[in-house]
Amino acid sequence: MHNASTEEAPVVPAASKAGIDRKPSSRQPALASQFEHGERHTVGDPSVDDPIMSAREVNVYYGDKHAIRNVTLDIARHQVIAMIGPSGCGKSTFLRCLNRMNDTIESAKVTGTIILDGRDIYDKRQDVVQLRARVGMVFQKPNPFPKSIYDNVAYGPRIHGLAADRVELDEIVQTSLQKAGLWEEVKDRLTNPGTSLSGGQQQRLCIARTIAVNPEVILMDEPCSALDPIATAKIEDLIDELRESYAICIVTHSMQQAARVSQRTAYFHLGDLIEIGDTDMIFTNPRHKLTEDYITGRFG
Amino acid sequence: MHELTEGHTVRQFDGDLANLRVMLLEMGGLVLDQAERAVRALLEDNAELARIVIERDGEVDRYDVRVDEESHRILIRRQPVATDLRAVIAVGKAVADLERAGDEAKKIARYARVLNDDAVPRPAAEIIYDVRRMAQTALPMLRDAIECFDALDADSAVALMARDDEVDAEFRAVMRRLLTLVMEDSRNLRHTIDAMFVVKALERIGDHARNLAAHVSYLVHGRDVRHSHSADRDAGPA
Repeated sequence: MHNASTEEAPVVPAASKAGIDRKPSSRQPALASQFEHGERHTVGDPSVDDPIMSAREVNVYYGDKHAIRNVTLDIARHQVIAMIGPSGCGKSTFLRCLNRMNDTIESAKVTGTIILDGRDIYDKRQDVVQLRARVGMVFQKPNPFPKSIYDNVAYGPRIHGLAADRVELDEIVQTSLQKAGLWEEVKDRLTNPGTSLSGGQQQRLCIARTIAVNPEVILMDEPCSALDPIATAKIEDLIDELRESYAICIVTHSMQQAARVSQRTAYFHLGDLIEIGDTDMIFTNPRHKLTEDYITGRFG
Repeated sequence: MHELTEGHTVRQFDGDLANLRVMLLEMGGLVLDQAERAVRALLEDNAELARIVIERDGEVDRYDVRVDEESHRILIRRQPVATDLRAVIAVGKAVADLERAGDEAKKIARYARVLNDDAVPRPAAEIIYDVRRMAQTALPMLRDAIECFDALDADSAVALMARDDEVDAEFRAVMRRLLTLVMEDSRNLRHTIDAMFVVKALERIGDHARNLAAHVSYLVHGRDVRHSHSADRDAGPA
């Protein structure tokens, strides 16, 4: 696995002040040119000890378009990793690789390996339905099934045969709704349709649905984009609780959200993983100019 | 701080940071001016100049308040991150150091005014000599520190921090000489005590200059070198 962590850290360069004598720049040149000349080195260490999932040299092509370029990164257990970057940078595409949702796209081709529990998820013998239970996904627009609240949560356990009887199923539904912070609000109306809930509640229902099948990893693709600030805050609070039990990958457009909920942050740009590191460091002292430009709002 | 004030998609952000920069540099210039004038007032026995310095300290304090208000506004409105965040933090700290340096200048001016009173006998020539030497060591440090902030020159800032050792050494030497003066002639006591306060004020100005340099390093590299040993400082960016 290649990374740039052993090299001298590049720092953001100083601009020159036109017309006035300036002392020589005390900053080192940025890495940006490396990407332009075809070499690809992620700044920061993409690996972790004992990861739950490992992506190695993953490439994604949509027809001719090279959407994800040689991305290597580990997903840590009991941690939230945020993936940020401008529109079209590939973060959602990469997220979808982690539970093979890209399989549903006709023109998509994925190369490289993604290891879950010692096995490559793209192995031909991998049961994709099983995979998507172990690596669950929550989408931007809440998408409860057109069923009751109860049946929304019970659906997964039913098809995976996780409950021996109705009693066990009830338990799973209740526990899942509790973990998703929704139980108290819906316990007296479990037979109501999932769609009768508010946006924030629907999203928590979707999270309960994901949890009900005992995932190891929860993928979230801009889970709060469609929600108001209070609903968002509740989900963020929930994410913090959930990481005690699950590894979480969240794609987000909001830098502030990434800073609030995650421990690690990965910055994607035009399909490349530019920089990855501790969230605190990324937001106070990023090492790559592209990262700095994006998060400070100088991008474009 | 030039590149910090350019290129944001929200252009008002550029304006906010540019504003902060201008206020900081103005305040730096003012405080430097205060310190230089206070020392001159003392050495030239100029009561009027001393009075001006004492009055203008109010202006220094007003800058302190204004920069803080502007910094808070930027924090609320822009939620800055990375270099922008470090810039706002560093400017806030720099302004606090400048305000204290301004206070030290005022103390020096006060002593100058006391001395100017005809009823008070002239201090020994050695005392004047020592104050001048101390000023010649400490005040250029302040000037250079402000220049480092303007140019965002972290290398020079780190070098400047090492000069604080010179200021401290000079301070100790001066204190020894002043004590010797008293021991030679106890009539020197009164002036010696006052001179010690002046020399101490100049030494403190050197400290504040050193702090300003540390803030530049934090802004540029994100490293807090305020309390580090000089060898660590020379190690460069983290």
